[in-house]
Amino acid sequence: MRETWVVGAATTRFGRLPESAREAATRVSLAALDAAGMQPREIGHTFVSNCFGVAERQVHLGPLVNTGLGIPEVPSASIESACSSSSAGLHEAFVRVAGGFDDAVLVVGAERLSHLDTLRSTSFFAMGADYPFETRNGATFPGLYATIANAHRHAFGTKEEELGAIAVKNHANAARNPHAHFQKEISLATYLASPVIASPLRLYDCCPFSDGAAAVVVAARETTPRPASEPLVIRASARSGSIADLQDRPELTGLPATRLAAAKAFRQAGLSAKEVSFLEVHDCFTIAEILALEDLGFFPKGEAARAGAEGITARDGSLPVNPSGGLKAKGHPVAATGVSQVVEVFEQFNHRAGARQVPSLETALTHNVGATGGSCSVHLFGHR
Amino acid sequence: MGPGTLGVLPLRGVRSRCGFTSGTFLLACPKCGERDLAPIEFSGKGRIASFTVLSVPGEEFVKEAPYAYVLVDLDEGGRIAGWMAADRTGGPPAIGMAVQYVAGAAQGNRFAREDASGASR
Repeated sequence: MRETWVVGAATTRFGRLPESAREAATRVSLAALDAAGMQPREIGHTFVSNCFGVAERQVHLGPLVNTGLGIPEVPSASIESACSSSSAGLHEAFVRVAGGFDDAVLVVGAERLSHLDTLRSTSFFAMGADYPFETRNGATFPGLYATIANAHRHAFGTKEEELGAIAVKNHANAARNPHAHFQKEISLATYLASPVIASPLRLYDCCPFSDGAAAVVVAARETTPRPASEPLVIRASARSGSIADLQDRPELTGLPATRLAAAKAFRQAGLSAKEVSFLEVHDCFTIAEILALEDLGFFPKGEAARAGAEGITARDGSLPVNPSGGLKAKGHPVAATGVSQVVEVFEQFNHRAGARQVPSLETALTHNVGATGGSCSVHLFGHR
Repeated sequence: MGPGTLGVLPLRGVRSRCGFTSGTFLLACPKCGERDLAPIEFSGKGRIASFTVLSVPGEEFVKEAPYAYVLVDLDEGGRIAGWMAADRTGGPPAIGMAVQYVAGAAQGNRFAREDASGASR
């Protein structure tokens, strides 16, 4: 395998896009190439993720993006893995570059749903669940994660204030992130006063429906030895699956796909959780950050809930988690999220994270979950 | 929007040789890989493994909100998803609560609390 880097990265501000996902995807791709100091013609393949293109009456985004970049002859494919779509695209890019099939690959995710109302958006999000066996029984995404949260609370006594501390922390981080959907801090009192959406989850436990686009350029060290920005060395790119439906899994208090992907990633990199300096994890709901920290191996089962409340995972804590604000507060434009976590690592490694810069930059981990964990990606990044 | 035929016979499931039991769509066992799955009929009696009460419903459940989404551990093994109407008399659902499938719902597996006499309400 060839040493493979992320050489360029860019994102739009998350929230409400003033243009189509297709336009934003193309624009942010060019910005990622500029960050790498590369030209579109150096790209050998493009992976595009756009889960809800049908909401814009548009699929087959790849050729449109490539044509807009002036490289119509470059092959492309759409990668859909629900909320983990673009990290799945990153994994495919890694495989192609590390395996020597391409020297440079563009990965872009984009989503636009803000032209739909809450009910329609909720339905689009729910399309990642099992339609006949979950959705037709009344499941929504907050509902599915709330079902996990209740099981977790029942097993480990997870407290409302502990979920709230995660929301407060991630909003504080997003308030320092110019790309974030919500650039405002919230108090625990605000959290506790917010309405229950799906018990025990409140409005402020939930990520927003966001528009947004993010892109990275993946390239081989041997062919792009001097990118314009400090590259991220991809130390591991691992994915796993698990039984799709929650009701068919033996346990409800964790995501087995996270455990499997993390084990693969740490083995690939020859690293352990102790060596990770900071993480961007999949916190679509506050409970999901707790699940991630436990399933990734940073805390024993049932013990991660205190991490937010005790400040361990704060920006200046011993293990910063979601310095970007996470899905929770930076926002969750579904197909852009996986790549946007890598954009955060890229900005941190290039000391461009401003007021949210984390103190230690040895090794970073990104964790991106598809739906309720039917899919999961874990990437580890280090320095050259 | 056509839901297809999946899920319309909700109390039917399959059991694998390893004991894995499911009410979803399987051609092989996700635990052991066995392809010879025995069809079974569920009694519809069980206990709540976990649940949530939704005040913001999905499109399909606008008329039912607020309602509970429930995962039910069935007495004969296996766990299926379903829903319960908001219960104004017996309090909210709870993990471990005994419930019983109620036939005739327009969609999904409707459950109701099973009281001490064994009747559902």
